[in-house]
Parts: sequence; structure tokens; C-alpha cells
Amino acid sequence: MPSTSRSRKSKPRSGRTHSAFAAVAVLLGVLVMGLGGIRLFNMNLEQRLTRLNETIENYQEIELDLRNNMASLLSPSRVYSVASAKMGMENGVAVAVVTVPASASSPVLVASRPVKGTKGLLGGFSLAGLFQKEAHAQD
Amino acid sequence: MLRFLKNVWTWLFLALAVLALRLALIQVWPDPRTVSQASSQYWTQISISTSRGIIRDSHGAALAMSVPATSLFIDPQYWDPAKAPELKAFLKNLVSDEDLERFSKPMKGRFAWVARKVSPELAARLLSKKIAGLYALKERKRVYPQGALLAHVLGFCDIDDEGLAGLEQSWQDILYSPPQAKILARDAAGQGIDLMSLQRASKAMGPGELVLTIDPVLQMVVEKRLKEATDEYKPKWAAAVCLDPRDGAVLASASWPTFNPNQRKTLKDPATRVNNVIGRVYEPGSTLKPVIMSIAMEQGLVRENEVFHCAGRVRVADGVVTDIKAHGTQVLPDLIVNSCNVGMAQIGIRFKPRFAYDNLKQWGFSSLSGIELPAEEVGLVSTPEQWRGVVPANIAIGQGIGMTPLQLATALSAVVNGGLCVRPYIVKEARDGQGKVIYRGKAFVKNVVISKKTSDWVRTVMRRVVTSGTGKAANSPKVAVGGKTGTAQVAEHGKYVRGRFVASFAGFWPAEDPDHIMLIVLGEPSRKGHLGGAIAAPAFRAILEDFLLLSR
Repeated sequence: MPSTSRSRKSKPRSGRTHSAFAAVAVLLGVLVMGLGGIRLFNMNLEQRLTRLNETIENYQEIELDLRNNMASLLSPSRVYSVASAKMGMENGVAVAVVTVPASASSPVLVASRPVKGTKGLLGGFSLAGLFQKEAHAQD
Repeated sequence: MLRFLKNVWTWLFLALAVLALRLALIQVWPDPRTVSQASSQYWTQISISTSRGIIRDSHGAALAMSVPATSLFIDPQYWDPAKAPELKAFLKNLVSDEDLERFSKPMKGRFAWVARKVSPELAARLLSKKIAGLYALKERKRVYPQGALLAHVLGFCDIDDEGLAGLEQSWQDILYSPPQAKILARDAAGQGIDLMSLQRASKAMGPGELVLTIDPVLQMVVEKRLKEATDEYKPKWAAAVCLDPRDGAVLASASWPTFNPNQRKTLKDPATRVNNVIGRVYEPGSTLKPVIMSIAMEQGLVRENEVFHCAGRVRVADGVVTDIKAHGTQVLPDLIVNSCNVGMAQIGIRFKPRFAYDNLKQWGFSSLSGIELPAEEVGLVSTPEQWRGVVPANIAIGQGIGMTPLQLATALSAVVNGGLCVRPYIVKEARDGQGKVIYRGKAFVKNVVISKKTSDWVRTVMRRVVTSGTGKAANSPKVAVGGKTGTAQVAEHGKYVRGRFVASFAGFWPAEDPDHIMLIVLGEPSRKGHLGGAIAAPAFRAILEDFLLLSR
């Protein structure tokens, strides 16, 4: 009789031990799989970040190239050479700047070159000058 | 317990547990030998250049900057030596014959440069061939968008972006950015994977930035007209510098012969690399007379209405001082207006050597000016013990004393600005990598050398030089100009050589209250004349009028 009661008691104990063991094993397995999953997700994020950084670097390089081009275009010597060589502009040797004081009664400013056909007619005196108002600049 | 141990699953579990534990140990705490072996096989780390700081002119336009470039390298482990001729065909002058021979044989190691900093387009064409073992790296290359403009001031860098001359050298600490560590991982085919070194590298401070005082329009005009003058008169060297006499800001600086820092071959001739504005010592001749006159007036050695007699030559101790012609009887201002050597020599012998030497040092001669550029010459002023015989007379006419164009321009600034000897500066502002201003160029008065009264008097006399004296070729109807011409002899082995001169003109505008002072120097012109008034003064006027026209 004692042997029967002993065997009846041992079965439930071993059953509980096996259940606990199985639960721990399952839990560990789930944790490990979770860690693995997190690691894979991390790698995915790293790869996306790498691509983003590459995109940033590419745009930074484009920006540098554009800055270089802009600096070349802004170069005074380039502007001068394009103006003179391609556009035919010349240095205005005889250019004079006349400042007319702003007022309601100030006369109209006209060009100071002689009128065609009248130059030298009267020993250099232009008839047209009689009919033109000339600005009198004041320093 | 015994039953537990007799269970097969127990033993299976234990075995798997041991394997899992071992796996975890290998993953988390790997053997250092394993790590080292893997690193050498699959990873390589190299240094690549990063952007160098931008240098800008006073209007903010970039004068020097870094742009993307591609560098090509070989991994000998994957490289096929038979492909070497393909490299040569594409890269031509960029791969030397020695390198080609090296690439044609099996190589050791894991890295070998093929070509540094080629254009991305050329690199892309070569890489499209997919030659095994040939890889590319993105780097930065130093370029100067405005070509040869301000070349001597900006300087240049080597292939690794280390400054070798000019501002690139003297401001290396600010402009330089440490190279970045680039980690490349290789797959089984040898293809490189560029990892996130930007993120993983420690955050280093970026490069700084310089803003200069240079006026780009004036600089362009000065270089253009100086080049025209050198083409016409064929000097051995030339220099032009323009300052704001009120605070010493350098508005333009040009030296000839020049180079283009974008083209390495223009750097071969050592003469082109000399910045004649700060690195050339020459005898200034008559352009020094306003300084001597100012000293004499300030010290009471002469009077405004004093009369001098010029017979065309005068013997002074062991030497003879001569003039182009006999000027006859002159009052004091005429000595400057007519550039009379005889009269100035008579003033020179009144100087006490010790006093004169110390005074000239206060004017900035025989000492560094303090400008933020390297390779500046100090100049030469005879020590008081050497002021014997004809030496004081010679110095009074600008011979027997050596100075750089910048030193002379700075001294003349003191003559016209009320007597303040200011320190010249060319860097308006310097910022560090975080944008913080760490340097600001500003007016600094080194010495007060003459009074305002003396300054006003000499300035008025210099105006007469241009209206009625030797500098008439510099007179312009657009603005009142003052100045002084100079035609100095060149000495060799202690003697002045016949036929060798330095022609110069120093002028300022507007004469009443100058905000620009400019010195033009043509060293040993070989064609069409040698007088400062004949060849340097017209160049000055051309620059002045161009600048006035373009800067409106």
C-alpha cells in the first residue's frame, strides 16, 4: 500500500515539473525570437538611414557644384569679358554723370552731343541749341 | 533526479543549451583574433578629404571653395593586372608610366591610389566599364571659381588640401577640416559598400570661413590694367596695391607674373609664385620723398617758405646726386612737385642718423607690416652706423633703402590720412566651423608719425604733383587725384646699373579726403620708356577711371 501512495504522489509532481520546464522553454524561445526580430528591424532602419545619408550627400554635392558655378558667373572679369566680347559694349570714355536736383521747375535734361546737320553751320554754333533747354548741373 | 537524467529530451535540451550559450558568447564577446581577421578581410578604413573653408571677397562671392571630386583606387586582391592599359586609355595624363607599370603586375596590400580628384564625369565613364578591383571614393577638390583673380593672396593647396601659400597657408588652422574616416565593407564579389561613417564618426568641427576686404570690381580692374601695362612695357615684375588709407583695409592686390591656382602647370616657374606686393624688396626712388618731406617738416628741419637752389647736380661727401635737369631756384613744395633730387639731398643731410633710423622704423619700414599673409619681406633700412657719406642724401631721394610696395603704400597712407600709421589688413572677418566670429580686421594705429597739419600740407603738395608736376599723366577730370611719381635705379653688387629702373606711381583720391590710395610699380621695364610719370601714372589713371565707371 505504501508503494501505491508513493507512486500516486510522484506523478503529479513530475507533471508540474514538466509543465514549468515547458513554460520556461517557450518563454525563452519567444524572448529570443523577439530579440531577433528587433535586431532585424534595427538593421532595416540602419539601411534606410544609410540611403537617406547618401541622398543628403548627393544633394550637398549638387549644391557645391551650383555654388561653384554661381561664383564663376559672378566673377567681375567674366561679366566684363562677356559684356565687351559678346555684347560689344565699350568703356564709356566720355561718359559724364550729371546730377539734376529734383524739383518741379527743373529743366529737362537733353543729350549734349551736337544735332545732326547743324554742326558747323554757323561756325560751330547750333541753331537747334536755341530751341533746346539744357540742364545746368550743380555740384 | 535520476529519471530526469535518464530522459533523452533532457540531454537534448542540455546540448542545445550549451550550443546557444556558446553562440551567445561568440556573438556578444567574440575572440579578438577572429575580429581582427574579419576586419582585415572584409573591412577597410581610409581617410578622405572634406570640404575646406570658403574664402569670400567683400561682396560675399566665393574666391576659393571645395567641390565634389572622385578619386579612383585599386584593391589588389580583386585587381586584374591585365586591365592596366584600360586605365591608361581613360585617364591618360593622370596615370604616370611608373604607375601603369606597377598596376600591370600583381600588387600587395588592399589599397592603391590610381588617380586623385578627377572629375566625377570622367570617373563615371571609367566605372561604367565595371573593371573588377577598381573602385571610387568621393572626395573634395579645392577650386578657385574666379580663376587667376587674386591668385597670390589666395595661394594654393596640395592634393590633400593642405595650404601651401597665401591665405590657404596662413589660415590653414581655420580653413582646414580633418579628413573623414570612410569605412568600406566588401561582399564576396569585392563590391564596396559605403557605410554610415558620417553617423558613426565623432562629430568634428567643420571648416571655418574667411571674408576679405578685397573689392572684386577694383581687383579685376587693377589686374586687367596691370596686365596691359606689362604687355606694353615688358617689365621683369610688377605690383599694384590699393588700400583704404583711413583704416588700412587692402582693397586690391595684384602681382605680375601671375598664375592660375586651378592649373598646376602655371606654378612651375618660381617667379610666378612670388607675391611682389609683400615679397619684393626694391628701392622706391622719388615715391619716398613725401615721407621724407613729412619727417623733415614735422621735426622742423625745413620751413614751408624755404628756398633751395638746384644746379642739376650736387656733391655730397663721397658721392654725387644728380637730377634730370637743373630746376633752378625752388621753394619747398617744388622739391616734391618737380621731384628735385638735389633739393631733397640737401634735406637728407640734415637728418641725424639715429633719429632718422628710429623714425623710419616707426613708419613701418624694415619691419613686418602685420598683414595676415605669409612670406612677407621685412625690407632694408641702413643702421645708424651706416649713415655715412652720401647715404643720408641717397635715402632722402628713395635710394639706398629697401621696402616692399605694401610698406610704401602704408607709409604714404599715413602721409595723407592725418599722420596715422595704420596696420594693413586683408581679412575682414574669420569664422570658425560653428559660425562664431573669431577674428575681425579693423583699423589699428601703430604709430602717430606726423601731425594733421603736416599731413594736410604734404597732401596738398602731392595734389600739385598731379596738376602741374611730374604726375600729370595721372590727372583725371572725374575726381581730384594727388600722388607722386618715382623712377628708381636698380643696384647690383653694390653699384647702380645703367639702364635698369623701377617705375612707379603712388596716388590717392579724392585728394581732399582720400579713401583710396594706390601704388603701381613696374620693375625694370624694357620697352617704351622707364619714367614713372610716363608709364606708371597712365596705368594708375586707367585703373582709377575704370573703377569709378564700374562702381557706380
